[in-house]
Formats: sequence, C-alpha cells, structure tokens
Amino acid sequence: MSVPAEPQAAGDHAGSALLTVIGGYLGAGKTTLINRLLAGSGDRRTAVVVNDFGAVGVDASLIRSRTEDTIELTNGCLCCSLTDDLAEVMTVLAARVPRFDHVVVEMSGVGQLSAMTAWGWFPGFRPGRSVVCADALSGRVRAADRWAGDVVLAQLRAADLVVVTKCDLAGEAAATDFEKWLATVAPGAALVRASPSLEATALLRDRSGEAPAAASGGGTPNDPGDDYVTWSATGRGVVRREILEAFLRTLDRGVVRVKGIVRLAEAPGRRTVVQGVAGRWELTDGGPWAEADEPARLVLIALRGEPPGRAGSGLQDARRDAARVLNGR
Amino acid sequence: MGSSAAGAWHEAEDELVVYPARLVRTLDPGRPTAQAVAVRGDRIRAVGTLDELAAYGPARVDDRYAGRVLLPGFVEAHSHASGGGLWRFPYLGYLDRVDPDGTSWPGCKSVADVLGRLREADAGLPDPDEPLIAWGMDPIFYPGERLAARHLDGISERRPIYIQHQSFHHATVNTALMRRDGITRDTAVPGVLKDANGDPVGELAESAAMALVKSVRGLLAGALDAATLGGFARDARNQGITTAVDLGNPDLMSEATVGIYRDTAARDDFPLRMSVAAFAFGWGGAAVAPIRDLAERLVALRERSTDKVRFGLVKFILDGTVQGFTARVDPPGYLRSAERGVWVCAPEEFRAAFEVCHAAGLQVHAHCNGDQATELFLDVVETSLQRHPRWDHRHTVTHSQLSTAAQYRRMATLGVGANIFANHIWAFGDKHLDVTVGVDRASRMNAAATALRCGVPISLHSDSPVTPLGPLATMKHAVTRLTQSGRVMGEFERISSAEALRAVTIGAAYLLKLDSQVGSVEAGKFADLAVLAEDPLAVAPEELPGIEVIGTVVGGRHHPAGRAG
Repeated sequence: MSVPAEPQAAGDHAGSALLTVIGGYLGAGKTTLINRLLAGSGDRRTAVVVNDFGAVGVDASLIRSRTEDTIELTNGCLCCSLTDDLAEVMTVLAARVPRFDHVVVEMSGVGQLSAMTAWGWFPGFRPGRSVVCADALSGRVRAADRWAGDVVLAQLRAADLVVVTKCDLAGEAAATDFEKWLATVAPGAALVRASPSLEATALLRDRSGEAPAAASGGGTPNDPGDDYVTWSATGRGVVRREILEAFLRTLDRGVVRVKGIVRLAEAPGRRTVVQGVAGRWELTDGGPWAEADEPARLVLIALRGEPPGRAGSGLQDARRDAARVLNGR
Repeated sequence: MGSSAAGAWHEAEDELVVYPARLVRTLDPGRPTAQAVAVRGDRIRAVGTLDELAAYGPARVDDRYAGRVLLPGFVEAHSHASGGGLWRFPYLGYLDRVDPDGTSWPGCKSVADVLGRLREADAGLPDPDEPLIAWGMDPIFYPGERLAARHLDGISERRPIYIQHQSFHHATVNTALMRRDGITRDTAVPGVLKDANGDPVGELAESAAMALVKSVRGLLAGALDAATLGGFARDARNQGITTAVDLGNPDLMSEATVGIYRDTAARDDFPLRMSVAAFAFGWGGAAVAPIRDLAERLVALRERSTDKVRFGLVKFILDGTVQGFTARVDPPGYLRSAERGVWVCAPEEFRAAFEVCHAAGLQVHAHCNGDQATELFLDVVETSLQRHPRWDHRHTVTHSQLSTAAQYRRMATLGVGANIFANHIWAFGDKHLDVTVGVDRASRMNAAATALRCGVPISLHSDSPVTPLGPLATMKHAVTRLTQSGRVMGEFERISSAEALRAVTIGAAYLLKLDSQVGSVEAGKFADLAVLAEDPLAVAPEELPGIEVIGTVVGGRHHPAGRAG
C-alpha cells in the first residue's frame, strides 16, 4: 500500500503536552495529588480531567471563567470534568493552542489505566507516566476486597509510578510494611511517598523517568490541604460500652481513622483509648484520668470528596452521634 | 382514571368501538381469550364475545382486524432509543434486519456482501466527496478475511469511507480517509493497526485511534432528537411493541432533554409509550450529577410523567459484557481466560448511590451480566432494604446472563425481578458454548426456566440496537434456546411459548410498574394492542419470528406496520 507521507504532529513532540494518567481506588488520594499539582503548577499550563468537579480545590479568586464542565484559571490552567465523551475532551485538549505543558487525566476508582495510555501518542500529546495512588492506611484491605481486590492489584501492576499516600496516618511502621508489599505486587513501578514538594516533579517525568527539559520544576510550594477532613468532639458524659461499640460499627471505610479517649460506664475512673482504622477498632486501658474533669474526646478522620463516612447518611450524622456518645446520650 | 369528573365527561364523548378478531389473547388469566375488544377513547371498555359486548351500549363495529389475532401490545423493558438514529446509514450487520420504515436489510454473510452493500451506497451518493458511513459490521463472523482499507479503496479512492464495527470499539476506514486525516506509517498511536511493512491497514481500535478521524463525525454524535425517537418508535411499531424503555439517558437533569421526550411522544402519530430511565453513572464511570440531586430531580420528574412518557426509573451499569470478557465473574469464571471482568462503577460508589435512590422511593434497573455483578446488586438491595424497608420496589437485574440458581432464589426473597437477555442465546450462543464460559455454564446462562421455578418475575429483552427489537424473535430464543449453528444452549432452561409471551407483555409491564395500565387486554387499561397475522401460541416456536406484524393500536389509535415501497 502506498500512502503519501505528510508532515504531521504525531512525531513532533516539541510542541506537545505531557500526558499523565492517574489511577487508584476510591480514597487512595488521587484528588489530593491533583489539587497539589494545580496549586503547584507555577507557570506551567496544566489541564486536569477529573471525575468529580466538586472535589477539586480551586481557589475561587483564580477562576477566570466557568461552564458546566470546565473551569478556566487565570494562570492558564484548566479543569475539565470527565463527560461521557472522553474522546471529545481529549481531542480538544490535544488541539489547544497555545499547548498545555501538562495534561493530567484522573481515572475513575475502577478505571483501567491501559484504556487511557494510548492517548499519550495522540498528536498533541506525548506519553507521561502511569501514576497510581495507593493508600498506606487501607491499601492492603482493598487489595483483598471481595469485589474489587483484583481491580486494585491490576491498577498497581499497570503503574510506572506508585504514589504512597497517608503514610502519616498509617504510622511509619505500617507505611514501611506497605511499601515492602507494594514492591512485590508492582515490582516494575517506582515508589514515592506523597508530599507536596515531591509530586509535581515526579509527575512531570516522561515514561522513562527522565525529567524533560521543558519542565520548569516544582513551581510554588503550596499545600492546598489534604484529601481528608478531621473532626473532633469533646464531652464530659459517661457512655456504656455497647453504645460506644454500636456507634463505631456505624462507621464504614469513608471514616478512615477514629481515635480518642472516652469515659466508659464500666470503668469511669479509667481512660479508655479508642483506636480504629478502616472499619476495625480496639479499646484499651489508658490509665487513670489526669484530672477528675478531663474531657473525653473523639477524633474522626474521613475522606473528603469520596463516599460519605456513613453510607446513606454521611459524616454529618457520624459527628452528631459522636457528640451524643461523648455526652452520655 | 375514569372516576374523575373530566374522565367521565371524556367517556361520554367517545363512541364505543368494537373490534372483532379471529382471536384475542388477553394475557388476563381470568379471561384468557375472547372474540372481540370494545374500546372507548384510549381505554379498553370490555373484552368478550360479540353478544356479551352488546351489553355495553350502542357501538360501532370495526371489522379491520376481523381476520387477525389481537394481543396486548408487546412491552420491551431494555432497549436504547439512540438506535433509532443508526438507520440514517447503511447497515452491514450479519443478522437480517428491518429498518423503521419497513425496508429489509439482509445480513451480510461475507466480506463480499459487505462490499456489495457499500458499492450500492456509494452509487447513491451523488457528491463524490461526501463521506460514506456505515454500521453494524462484525468481523467475528468473517474469520477468514479481515475487512481493510484495500477492500474499501475498491469502492472509492476519493470519498472517505468509515465503517463502524458492531462493537463500537473499532472502525475500518479507507485510504482516502487516512490521507485526509493524516494517518500514516508514522502515526504512533497504539490502536492504528499496521501490516508487516508498518503501513496502516485501515483498522482503528479504541478511542485514541478512532479519534484520529476528523473528516467524519461519529455515528452516534449529536444529542437525542425527535427524528431519532421517531425512528425508534416506528421500529417498535413494526415489531408489535406499544411500550418500550429507553434505558437510559445521561442527560435528564436537562429540561431540553425532558422536553424532547415529552413533546415528541405527545404527537398522536408517535406510536409508542416510553419509560425513560436516567443513567446514574456514564460509561466513563463518572456520576452524571451528584446522586442526591439526580434522585430529587427524578422524584419531581416522575410527577410530570404523561400517558406516553414515564420518568422515574434509574439505570446503573455495574459491569461489562460476557463476550468481551468484561462481565464481573466469580470463580470458576471464564472458560479459558483468567479475566475477572471490569466494574463500570466502583462497588462502594454504587452502594452509596443505590441507597440514595432506594431511600428516595425510586426504582432501579441494574445492568449485571456476570454473576459477581448480580451478587453485588443483591447484597446492596438487601442492606438497603434493612435500612430503608420498602414494599414493592421491583428493583430489577437486567441482562442477568450469568445469574445462578442461588441468586434467583435470593431475588425471589428480596422482591427483585430479572429481565433476561434471551436474544444473546441466538446472537452469541455459539461463542458462549465454545469460547466464553463453556458448555456447562452456557447451558444455564439466561436461565429463564430457573427464574420461573424460583418464582422470580421475569421479562425478556433485546437491548436494541445490540440485537434487533422483536419480541416474537425474543420469545423464540427463550423457548428454543437455539444458537445460530443450530445447537440447543441448555435444554432445561427452555420455557414454554405461553411463559415467553407473558414475559414480553405483562411480565415486562410488571418490571416497569406499568402493569396496571398496559401488558394485558383488560377493561380500564390503555387500548394498546399488537395486531398479528397468526396466534403465537399456535405456531411452532421456530416459526415465531416469521409471524407477520400487521401493526399496533396505541391508546385506541391505529398504527399500521411500515411497508417498504
């Protein structure tokens, strides 16, 4: 077959946008990563394609214009929501002049990265890394999940780079364990811990891991906040153990961590320490109260922008119930 | 209805019309057959013998159906109205089809047939630069020869030619199109298939490669419009269908979209009642709107339903397809592949979204092809019922292709219905027996008999345009379980013609919560009839698809089937 060769953009990477695909299961920290990228984009023109507009933390003062499915920022960055017609969104981004420096696509929680990576070779793009977020707090529980465990593992195996998130919440020992496990599950992937400064540079590498000359570095370090919300309550009541446990049972994985000190009716003179992670908890004796009227307290850490803390009722109810528990009602 | 003052007045105005028939099959077990139907306005007044109907007052006897068989209009509970727009383009599929205007399109049995059809279409386009677009081609049926650009170049070296495959995941194009859109041996996008020399062969796989095509707009591009709905409704009419579901639409938050359905269906010459389901998540897995907003919107929209268009149904897609190995399966899974399938939306997201819809009082039909998808659905229904007890929710597993006997027993307990993909037995049965799941599990795929044994309310569907609309053919597939090669895919899951007829009339109406209005010929219901040349219970099951559909009656109005030329 003879096809006249015509000059075209496919082989011409000079003016192309680096395409990074970000995957990872629900609550793995994709949104935090994207928020940090946007906030730290500096003078790079970055476009992000996200599942849920509402979860992206865009500073209102930076918004130049807004439509139903795009937000354009004054610094040249753009947010698009992933509509049904992915091809149309990608085609528009690829053709945009002047070119974006970096286009980041967030996959759905069950999305397969392989479905997107071909776009890295589309005229106007050049292939970047396949990045998968993995949550040190609940990543292993998810990998063993009856419904989606195989999906979580397939995402990790497809990654060029795994960003390990929530190491601070999990604690150093658990985070290290998790990283050892990741190295066996995804031996081909580079591992990096999530942090505001590191991510932009890690994500700006192409598939070989080389930092392209065009990249301008980390930009302005500016942490827009994490992808979890923390809420705490205090109270001076006494709670029966069964009431406390009934409350803890209502918390599902949306509440990733619960901790605190409560006054149990069964042992009002002792501090009872509550420790819970991803749907499991333990109650341990924390010794006598420091002062007779030291308040009891509970801290709930929940995912922001992911399924609500209690299916069907949300974190609001969990907060209210926690306050009731602490006040012995 | 008739109890209101306005209704009574209306009743007094309309004359009573009696339609004698060769046979009326009412699908009302208390009065299964009759000689004639008496209609007043848009409602059935009575059924019975001509003598019995004389008691209902003066009537005009209309003999137009005297030699025909009257049934309740068929109800299709899983179809897609967007298919109505495909017929603007030539059809290249393997199965015979009839378009909405009654033109027969014999299946293309070889690559030569495909090219012959394209040659005719090419001759029909006077402008030599106008693109030629066609659809429905499935290379699975031409294992010896793969359609490529070199074939299409024989049709035209000048006009772009774009062939959409039946899967919608691939396209085949000619050299003129590749030249125009700059697809060359240097194009690096994976999915641009190339020969041993590195030259593109003209086949484009998946979204990135297909998006390289700029000179031809996609086949399903553009919003739903009145013409597409009209094509869908005429297609339905030609098959004897009087109520069909559009399952679903991602855009019901939009007043404009709602208006298209309401305005188009309101026309007297629009021969169909529709139930329009809202997609909760799109194909990309993204929510079409915050779920609480969507639920609130649908509760409000439900109140704005009309006699012709019903809103309030919610559609979720949990997994992929069996033939694509993307249906979510529990062990032992597929025959030779270790694939477990893909989730279209994340299990936790589905759980949360379903519960919102359930608590809002909405009805959900969930696409579950694999047994693991059915299992998740049933788990979520059960926990939602514990938190928000509801009677008569009629949540439904749609497709239900690999649902197990244990799952059907559970459906019965939970009040869940099954809308079974009987057409798949014919369309893909040989593949299921030999390739996807093997003889053992294929024999109990689409297990209508098990569902009935367990007491699960069922319907049978086409998923048009995936397979053609046509409840008579759908009945045949459930009754015979014949594949295209002539094998029986599981003799013990065959059901009787009478059971199949119930499934595509009152059974489907029940799963849509429309059974008080349609699905049987009973006094007070809409005068919605299928007019057939033969009694489907008097012919051999293999002959069911050959029964001539004379037309339909929708709300007392007559809609003869389209006849080409």
